[in-house]
Amino acid sequence: MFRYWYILLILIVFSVFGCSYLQVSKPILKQSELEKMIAGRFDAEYVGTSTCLFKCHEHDKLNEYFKKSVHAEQIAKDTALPLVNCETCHGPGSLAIENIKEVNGKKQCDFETLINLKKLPAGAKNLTCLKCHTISSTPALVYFRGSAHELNDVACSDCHKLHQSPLQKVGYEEQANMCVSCHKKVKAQFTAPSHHPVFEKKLVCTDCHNPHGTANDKLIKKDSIREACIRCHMEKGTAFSFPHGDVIDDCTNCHNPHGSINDNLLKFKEPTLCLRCHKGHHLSSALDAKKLYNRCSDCHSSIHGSTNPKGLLR
Amino acid sequence: MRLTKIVFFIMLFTLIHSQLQAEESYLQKDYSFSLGYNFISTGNSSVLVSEYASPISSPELILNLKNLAGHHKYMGDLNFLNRDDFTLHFQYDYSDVFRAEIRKTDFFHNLNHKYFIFTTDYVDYRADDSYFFDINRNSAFFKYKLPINQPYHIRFGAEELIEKGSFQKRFYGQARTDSIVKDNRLYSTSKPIDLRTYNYETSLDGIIGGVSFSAILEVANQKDKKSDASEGGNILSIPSSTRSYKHLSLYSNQTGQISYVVSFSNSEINNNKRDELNQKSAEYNYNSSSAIFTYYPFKDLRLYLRLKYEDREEKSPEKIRFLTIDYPTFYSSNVTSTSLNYGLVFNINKDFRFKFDGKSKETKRDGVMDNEWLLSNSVALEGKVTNTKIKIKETIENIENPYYRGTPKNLYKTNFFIGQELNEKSGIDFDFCFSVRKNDDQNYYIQEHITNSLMLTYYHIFDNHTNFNVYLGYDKERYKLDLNIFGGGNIPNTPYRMTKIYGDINLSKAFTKKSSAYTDIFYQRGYGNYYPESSMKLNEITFNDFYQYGITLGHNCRYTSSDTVKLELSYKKHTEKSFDNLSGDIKTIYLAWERRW
Repeated sequence: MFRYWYILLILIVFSVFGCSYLQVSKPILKQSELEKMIAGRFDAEYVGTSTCLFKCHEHDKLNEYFKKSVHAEQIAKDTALPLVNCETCHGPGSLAIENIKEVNGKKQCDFETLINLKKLPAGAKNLTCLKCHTISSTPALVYFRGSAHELNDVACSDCHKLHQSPLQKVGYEEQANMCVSCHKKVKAQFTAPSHHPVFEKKLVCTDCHNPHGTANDKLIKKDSIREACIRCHMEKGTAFSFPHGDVIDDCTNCHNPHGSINDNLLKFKEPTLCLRCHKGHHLSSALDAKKLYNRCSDCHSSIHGSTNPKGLLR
Repeated sequence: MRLTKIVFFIMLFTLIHSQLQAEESYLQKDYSFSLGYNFISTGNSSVLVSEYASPISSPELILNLKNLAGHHKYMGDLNFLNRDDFTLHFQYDYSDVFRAEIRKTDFFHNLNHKYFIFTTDYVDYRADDSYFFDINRNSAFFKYKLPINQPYHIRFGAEELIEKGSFQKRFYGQARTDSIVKDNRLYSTSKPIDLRTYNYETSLDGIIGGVSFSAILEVANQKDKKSDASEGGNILSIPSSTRSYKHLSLYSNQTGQISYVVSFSNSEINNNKRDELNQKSAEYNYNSSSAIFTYYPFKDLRLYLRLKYEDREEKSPEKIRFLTIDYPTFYSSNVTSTSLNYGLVFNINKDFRFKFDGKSKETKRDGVMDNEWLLSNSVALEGKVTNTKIKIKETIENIENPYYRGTPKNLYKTNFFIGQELNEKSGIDFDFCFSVRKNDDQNYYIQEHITNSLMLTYYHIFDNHTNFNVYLGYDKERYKLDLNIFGGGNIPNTPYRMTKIYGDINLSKAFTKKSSAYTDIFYQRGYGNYYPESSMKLNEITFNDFYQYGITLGHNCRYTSSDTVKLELSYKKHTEKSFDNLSGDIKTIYLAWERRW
């Protein structure tokens, strides 16, 4: 059921025409000229990776990594993708290999004439990647522009270490440690007695978050926190005849998903958790205060919702 | 186990194939094999000291294979810790045109056995049981790139999640209809479970006529086999459910001044338990539409605007039948919300930037007169002066007519971060957050909520072979609640506090090229309760106090160019001072031999 179907229709029409217009790249210069401009030398020419390597073998190892990476596969004509080689990111190399010197027994080219990626701001570094990853369909990057990481000047190369091995994606095993190198508080949250098994390497950050951006706060995958949680915990987020009010909204009203000092990732120990929103029971002679004001879930076992008339009691 | 065997044989094939492809390469040492034994000993409860550790000693096998040469690339790894805890992963890639990935993860989840406290009027049928889930997560993923001018990608993924074991079912005996419960008491029993969730996802993305698109279709179902087999329709059983999810996003080029994304999603969940009166089940329907615009007019200014509309509806038959009586249900609840998020990032100079972020959200609920209205604004200044990074952020939030009584109306929050590089080899970070949430309306139970959180991290590289890292943290939450308890009216401003202190010290040293050692020590303590002077009888019940500490020592010795011996000793202890008796410790000794080639 979609109440505002006409808004949907307008958005679709606008999107199709709008995106179609914006998809057409309108560069201020030809890509090759742009790279020369960034390097600050218009007299440099593209010489090809093999020419560079022939002059100086210091980067043979990197080249080996590159040849075995998925980026090298783009050179194959049948993939119909843009050419990717060293000069695609580092700019034209003719001037760099003109004056090769020997420093401390190692050959060294005049790298000042290349694009100094390390000194570029994150946005410019990212454009180096996006110039290809936006021409070809890259659905992971749908929400990259305006995402938390992009707005905080996180560069693609901060996570994707292209020169460390042929693997260009962040591995499952290394992911958690990489993320907490910046998100240090999150690491501490995962040491709490109740936590999701991320540092046990059973889950990864990207099971719930998309670091490239989403339409939600906190880079949450899917369309809401609830939708992200029920992928694994469907029994707690299914439709109920007697649903707990909060459950329809947001699981984080009661739970800290990274970790908690309380049981079951709860934000508070019961009954405090429940008394934040609910009135307590009236006392009767049959039931003493401590019995009623104990763990609410002792009686309200089906706290997420129920399909039987005793509601959340079961 | 069939999947395990298949993946294992594929990995074996990969190894043989890789050996046949021997070539002079920087990547020749991409295979490793490790065989060891993990001795585990636990004392008392291992639930809180090691939530996911299976308490059994076992041989341990780790295998890593990589063949990244040529167009056919393989990668696989096996981590067998014990029969309840292992992961298996295999990936094949052909020229970045086709990719297949299989992953199997098995692990153990210790669950609490909670004892009834402050009452003797209960029956625990399984007082000695310990509860756990054995969780298996198996997934397969395939991607194919159509080799055309602007390629399309087709993806297919399937995931199976199995939770087997038993958990504690605590309940009040009043309405239980079977023979074991007849009176108004608290009961506890063991609930066996074999919950199976299957997710299937397919997606297509590409560019048509200049418009990039991504479409996702997902279906899932969940069933508890134990509920069906042994309890058939018992009210304690977990109902089976089906879910579907459809998503479409259209987006523009992301390198221009303006970029644009619009997306639409629909999610439906059906509880498959049909009511006998009307043969209908409860349904949940969720629609979401969002549009995101970014406009970067010049290199120092970035503007963004996000618009999101959400519509959630939970529907149930108007009445349901239970033991020949028809009961009215909640029938339907509908929540719609529209939110607008806007902001800018402005680079003041090459080292400093200013940020503004605003959010406005209106939420409408069926049957509620006044809409909930959230307005949040924050400003931040970030920068770097020589070797010092600074970040200051101020947030002010106001919520009109919050729906939940636990939602404070006003928020003021300060974040402060300072990071100092002391020299090339050491640095220190200080992160502080302070927030105050307040209410001026007696209809809401939380009157005041104050949080303080600070964290200090320090690193030092003593020489090129010794790393030292330490972090210390302190979190404190203080509440003032209007408690409406005992039917005696409000007890205003009842204080509640919760504190967490934590720290970790890590030291690693490479003695020689062949020998290295590491150690890690951590400590954390959490405690909280209502203040004794005003909590009345709730004080004891809300009391929470524990501390946990652990130490790990490890040594790696490479005695040939390919062979390494590893030894790791660790001890972790959890002490619970509150009424739940969940104290325990875990000791592990791990010895392994590793060969790389």
